Amino acid sequence: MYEICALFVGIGLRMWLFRMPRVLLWISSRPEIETPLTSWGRLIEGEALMRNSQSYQNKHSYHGSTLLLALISYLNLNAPSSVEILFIASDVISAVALYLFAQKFLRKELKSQKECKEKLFKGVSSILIKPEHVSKVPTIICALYMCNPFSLATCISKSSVTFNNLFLALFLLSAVQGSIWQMAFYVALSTYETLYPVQLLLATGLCAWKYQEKPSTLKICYLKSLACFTFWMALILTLSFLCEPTTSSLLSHYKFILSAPDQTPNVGVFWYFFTEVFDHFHTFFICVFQINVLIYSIPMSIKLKSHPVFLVFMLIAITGIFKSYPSVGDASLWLCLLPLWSHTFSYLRYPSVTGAMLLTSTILCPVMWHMWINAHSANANFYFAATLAYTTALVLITTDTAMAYLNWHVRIREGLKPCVAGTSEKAVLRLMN
Amino acid sequence: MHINITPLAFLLYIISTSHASLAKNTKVTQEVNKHFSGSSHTNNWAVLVCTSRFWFNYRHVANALSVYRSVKRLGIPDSQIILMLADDMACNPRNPRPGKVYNNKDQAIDVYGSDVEVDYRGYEVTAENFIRVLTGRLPADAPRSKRLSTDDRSNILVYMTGHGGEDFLKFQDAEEISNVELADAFEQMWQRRRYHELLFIIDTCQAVSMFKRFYSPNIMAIASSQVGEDSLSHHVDPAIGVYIIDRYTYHLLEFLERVSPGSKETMEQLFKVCPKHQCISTPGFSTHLFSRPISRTLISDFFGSVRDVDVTDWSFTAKPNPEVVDTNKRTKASGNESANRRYSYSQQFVTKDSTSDRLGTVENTPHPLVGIASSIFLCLMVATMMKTLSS
Repeated sequence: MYEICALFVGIGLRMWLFRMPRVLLWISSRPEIETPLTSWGRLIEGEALMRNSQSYQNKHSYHGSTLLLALISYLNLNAPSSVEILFIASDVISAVALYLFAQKFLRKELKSQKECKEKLFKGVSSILIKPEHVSKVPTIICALYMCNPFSLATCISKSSVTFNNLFLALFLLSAVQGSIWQMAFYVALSTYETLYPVQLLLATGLCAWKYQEKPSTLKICYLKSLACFTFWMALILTLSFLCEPTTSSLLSHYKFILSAPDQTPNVGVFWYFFTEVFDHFHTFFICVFQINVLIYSIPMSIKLKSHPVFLVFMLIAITGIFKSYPSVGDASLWLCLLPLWSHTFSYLRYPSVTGAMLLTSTILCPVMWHMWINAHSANANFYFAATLAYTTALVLITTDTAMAYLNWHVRIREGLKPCVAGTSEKAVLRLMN
Repeated sequence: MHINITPLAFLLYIISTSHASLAKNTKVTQEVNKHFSGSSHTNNWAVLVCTSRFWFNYRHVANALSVYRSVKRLGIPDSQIILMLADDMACNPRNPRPGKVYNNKDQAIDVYGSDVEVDYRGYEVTAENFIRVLTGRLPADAPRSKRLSTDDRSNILVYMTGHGGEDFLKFQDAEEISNVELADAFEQMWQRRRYHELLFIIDTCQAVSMFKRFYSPNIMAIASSQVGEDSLSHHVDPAIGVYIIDRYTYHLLEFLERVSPGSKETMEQLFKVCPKHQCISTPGFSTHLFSRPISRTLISDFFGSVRDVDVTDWSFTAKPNPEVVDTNKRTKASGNESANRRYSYSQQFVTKDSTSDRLGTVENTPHPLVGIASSIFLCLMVATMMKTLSS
């Protein structure tokens, strides 16, 4: 019931904010919310260029995917008000998908917890997943996604991150259902839009292996997911090629993501570095930064083999932080999923520090921007410091959550407090006065 | 004796008629002379260069700006003046009258003003840029205001001021231009027909050395001092503490104040400006390359932009639609058609991406297969989403 309220509140907020042109204008100019890859203004410009039958993959204009451009331009021509409805609907569907995903996931976790009761240490019942988790957490997640300022801002600014979040949310839902075709479909859609979700293929196989109805080996799962992904990707790319029959339009989008030529400030780590790197080292550091985004997938897939949903969470988080053109919308998705692991929160080492850091840096970013661009009393370093604090906060939340999760899994098998091996004594620390 | 009277009579006739027309001859001579020693230029340009920067070289900037103002007053438009200054006087923190540059301590005329157009300013005033301007070898993206777009009917005034030495002129901090380079630049201009006549005025120390290597025709040069002499400044403005104008330019300006756009002062009078007792240095001149006599060369040939305008008292009407001359010799009916067919503006320019006439043409609308494929894909997407959400 509460989730329906949350949905309506979210829809109401979005519709109200869409009617305020000054808010729209201010939000659309925020570099934290819109990036050269995802911004609405650039999409409209690309649409105008396309209508004049010129190549729209211009250096200063649209860099997103062809199909998105085709869809939005078609809608804009025929029914301009339906674009807002599309964005609100996308947010609503994401929230519903996250709700259903959280429900199914927690039910399955509870079930597996009950099945493995004998492996658990006695006395750990205080930190286990409880049935009220299953009833409360999905509502909280849905409410969080609909009402948090990051996703509100992303929806209002009509950036394509909304669609990306939609695909990832649906991917999560299909992951706990174990259907490879659907998972591969959403990964393909998401990869088509922004290249980085391709690392979710590793997680696809693992999710399928864990959650499928008929069990099969991991290798078969991986092969099947790869095949499905290839099929969907080929279909989408063919459609995109039909819409815009030049190979440059197909590849320039990915070239933009990978080579990150536009150094407009955003909340990422790319722009500041690449404004000052020497040309001699440019290619080298582009490779380093891109490897940084993608390399965590393999070790984490090995470590989190039996926890594929957490693996997906980590991959989404890391991609959202380190990708070439991140925005707060990328962070909103996985930040909303944090309550899924509320049972592990007692093992978070510094939750208040990271929470405060996130809040402060979010408020500080527009302030520093204003001081830099409007008041001319600061410079790029100030803004980068604020965004770096934001990035660090997100990284700390991610790592802390991971540590807490792993700690939890160790503790439920080994007991709540560390014991000296072999004895039942407790170690007591005495402070010397 | 039979004297052949015919050649004698013929000769007598010739003499008598010429004698009879002698009364009219001076007027005819004048008319004829006017066409042979009057200048046949059609446009005037000026290149005014101040090669110094920093506050203590205030007088050089004042020199160049004063000549700029005179030349503008006498009619050369800004579009035909290339002014190269370091432009660090008007807004210098040491300037007690910001935005103003004066050439006299009585502050009678602000030679900077709000309408000055400096084409090369700051560190753009380099020897390389100066030679590029003269020879026209500028990059393709150089704006028109930085180009000396002269032709073979242009009279150019080149005025240079700054710190000079024997055979060189110092440009800003660390560069110099030699008299050989300058002579070669002018020769390049002559070979490319970039001037009709050129007047070169230089107000620096040992200025004569800068023009003594010229070898191109139609150049006249005036320098403010001989080799071994220094050109001196005129007076100090105690309010700002630096010398405000140089002697030669001061007297040149005094002379130019008496010149108005239509006046008939000649170069001979210009050469008499600032004799030794006034200038302390001896001005030098070079006229051996110049083809016309200086007594008949007007000041306004170089310092102004005088147009010889013929006012006619007859009129003609221009036809609205000129007849199209058809070389294929088509029949009269079709010829008229093609002549009378009116083109809209954009249709005249058939380019690959002329958009205004091609909206809605077949090439613009996408292939119908694309529409079908996209809608199928969209339905598929929606169906998958429904399946995911429901199961």
